[in-house]
Amino acid sequence: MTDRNAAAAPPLLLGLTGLGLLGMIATFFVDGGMRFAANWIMWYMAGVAVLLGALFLITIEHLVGARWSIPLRRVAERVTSLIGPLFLAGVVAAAIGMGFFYEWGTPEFMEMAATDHHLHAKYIWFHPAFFYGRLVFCFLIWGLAYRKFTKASVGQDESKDVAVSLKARRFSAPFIILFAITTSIAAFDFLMSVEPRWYSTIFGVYFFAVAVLTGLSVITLVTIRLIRMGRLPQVRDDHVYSLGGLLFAFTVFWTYISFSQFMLYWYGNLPFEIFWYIDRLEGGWKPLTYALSIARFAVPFFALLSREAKTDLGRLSWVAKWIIATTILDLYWVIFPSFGRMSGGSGLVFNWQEVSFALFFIGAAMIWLRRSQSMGADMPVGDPRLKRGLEFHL
Amino acid sequence: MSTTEAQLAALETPAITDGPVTIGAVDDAVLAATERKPPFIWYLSILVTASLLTFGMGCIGYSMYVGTGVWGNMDPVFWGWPIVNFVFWVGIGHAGTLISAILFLFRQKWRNAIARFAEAMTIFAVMCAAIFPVIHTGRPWLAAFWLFPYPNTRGMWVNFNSPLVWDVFAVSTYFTVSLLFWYVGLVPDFASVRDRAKGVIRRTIYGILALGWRGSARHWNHYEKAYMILAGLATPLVLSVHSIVSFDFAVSLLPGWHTTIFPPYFVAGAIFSGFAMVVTVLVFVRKIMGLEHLITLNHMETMNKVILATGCMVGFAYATEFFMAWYAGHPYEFYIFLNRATGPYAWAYWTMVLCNVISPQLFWFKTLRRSIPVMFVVSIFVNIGMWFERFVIVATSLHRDFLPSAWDYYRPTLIDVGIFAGSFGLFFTMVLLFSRGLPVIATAEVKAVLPGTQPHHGHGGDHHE
Repeated sequence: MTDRNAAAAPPLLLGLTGLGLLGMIATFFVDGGMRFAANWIMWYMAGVAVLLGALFLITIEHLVGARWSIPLRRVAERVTSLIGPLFLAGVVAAAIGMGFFYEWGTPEFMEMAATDHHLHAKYIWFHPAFFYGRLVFCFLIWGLAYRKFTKASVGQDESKDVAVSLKARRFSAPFIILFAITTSIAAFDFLMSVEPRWYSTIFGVYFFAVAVLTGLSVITLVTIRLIRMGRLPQVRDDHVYSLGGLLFAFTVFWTYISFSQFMLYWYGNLPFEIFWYIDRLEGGWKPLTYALSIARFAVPFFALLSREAKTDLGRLSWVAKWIIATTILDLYWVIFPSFGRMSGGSGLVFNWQEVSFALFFIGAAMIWLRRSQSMGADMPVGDPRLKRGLEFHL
Repeated sequence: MSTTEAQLAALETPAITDGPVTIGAVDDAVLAATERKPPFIWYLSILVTASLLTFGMGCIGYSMYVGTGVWGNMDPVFWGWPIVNFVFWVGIGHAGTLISAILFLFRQKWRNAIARFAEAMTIFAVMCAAIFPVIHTGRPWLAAFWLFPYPNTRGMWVNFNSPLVWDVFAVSTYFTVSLLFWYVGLVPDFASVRDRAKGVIRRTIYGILALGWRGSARHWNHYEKAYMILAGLATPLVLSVHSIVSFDFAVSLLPGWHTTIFPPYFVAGAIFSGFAMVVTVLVFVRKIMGLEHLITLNHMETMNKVILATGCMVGFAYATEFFMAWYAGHPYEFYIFLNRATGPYAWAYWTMVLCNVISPQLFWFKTLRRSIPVMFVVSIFVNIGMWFERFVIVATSLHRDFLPSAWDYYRPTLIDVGIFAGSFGLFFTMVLLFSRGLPVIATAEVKAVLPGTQPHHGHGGDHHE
């Protein structure tokens, strides 16, 4: 059954998304730009995480010549179509971030940076032209990957041209380096900079872990939906197993990276490093920090530990949703304590404003992803290695 | 059409063996090496390596007799070569478990031909590594009291806050699991050697080692389960050991050491250096032992790709550190990095960059990846570069500390060099003994991936041969 009408968004989804939009506008006028910007940046970076996670999976498949993921590659490729709206969201995030939220966006900070030796690097790094330049640079690189991977692959459905696969493979090797650089830039610019005096060399890797986890979860959810709709008839447990395996592996990887960062700063206890964690280990943030480590590590770890769990569509589905939810919690935990610092409260806010942003961004992403399900065939039917991918056995 | 076919071929995973190989031929190629007299070059090599080992032991004995003052360690560089060499050897010991555990979990069948050798090298490298922190204590005969927590009447405990104690646990756990993993893999091969043995002594020794293996379906069932569990246990160890080694540096407050990227960066560097050492050794072993059809150029090329990938990761980490030293606006941190690149140890820093970041870039080209002389030279470069990386980290952060009056320039002594050379002697003596006495390739695993031994899934046999 190929239900193309599924591409059209149901009225409930549209309605909730619209409601979210109204709530967002209301947030701006009721609470001011700062809360709007903090929420917007959180959801924008969640979107970037999904995009980068999908790009990473595609790149790795080409780079190492993986077989299991070929039948699922179109799912990831369709997810990368989020790049267009994300670019717009990124420009908005940069503009409102500088205008309302980031401390480095204020003229006072920049004046201080111009004279204070310790902040001088920030004077250059956060210069608006340089900041926008990096944003455009990142999206140009990701856009190039979108063209070389997604567009070319969809075109291959008709042309069956083997050269497309070879070109994608050749592009994947240099791209993985650009991927590492741009992922770090995105993480440093939009997340680490919420505290312009704070820094951590591992932060790019941290966001990479977030991105792969989130991207994989979205791909898993779409895959499960397509399987249930009968649109991926030849995809078997053997293929799904690897999605579960990677979700498990990156759950552990995220824990490893975030623990490394925390442990080294906690142990060092240097005032200019530890303040970031003190903000997150005091008051209402303390239980949230503990909750995050349990929700993001213990729950998916034990849920996916057994072999059967990695092919159980029901369990994979809720674990993927759970991981996406914890990504939002993770980003909230990174951004909102600084919102508190800037707005003069604890920053621990959750009300109709936050719900509106969730409704709008999740709704808009779902509408977009549903629409993208008509892009090309459901599998990369022009890929000469698709047959081998379908034959894949554990 | 021929171009399309060539393109299709380029997309395919290369064959695991060169040419048709029968199951019996695998036995003959691998197991026979333990039965015949070794070639002359083997005797010559072990003469050299055993002499080096003896010399190194002599240097250690001298250091213990006179005191560790015969080393170059001085104020403010109390961590001299011993720590550099320790981290170097632990790093070398990372390829084996990565190949045997992580690549096993990733179902990379090419690993089967090289896993045994790489695992052996892991075990020997960890043995070499263990020498250095123990002798660095100055009185190694007392080391057991300091290293292991045990209840005693003096009420004294090890300092659990010290990453050096974490190292004791991390490295000894790693060694134990690697050894078990290696041994479990060896059991079926021991049985093969036993079954081929002509003499009673030989049959008895290998028979005991084989633990009564008969190759029944039940044996294999248990074996597969044990192997999978050990692979699962070994996988986090690949990450944890070098992460904890990196904590030795990173938990301190010294600029250049105290940085959060150290754990993953050290792990990448360890895999990088470990693979380089595997390539260095296998270039000779496959030639001398006549295993070129089992450890093929495809294997070597794949390892070179891993070297390129991990080399780029290491380069990326260098760049991140440099960037963050600038971005943070932390004057000491930035000074240390500037001092690395332009100070008295600039020669070591640029040697490191040339060897670790520049030289692996040759592997972007397929012809160079598949050229034995090129890969040999690059792997040596990487070994040198990774040693220098640890030297740069240790020396540059210590030799100029916060008080310029304490600044000095660290130089090793000949005794330092002698002990380090002795560790190479130990390593290569063990490698040579291993290549004589044990099957250097996991024959059972290679047989399992030979053409015709895999199920066809009813789609015809077009993806074979």
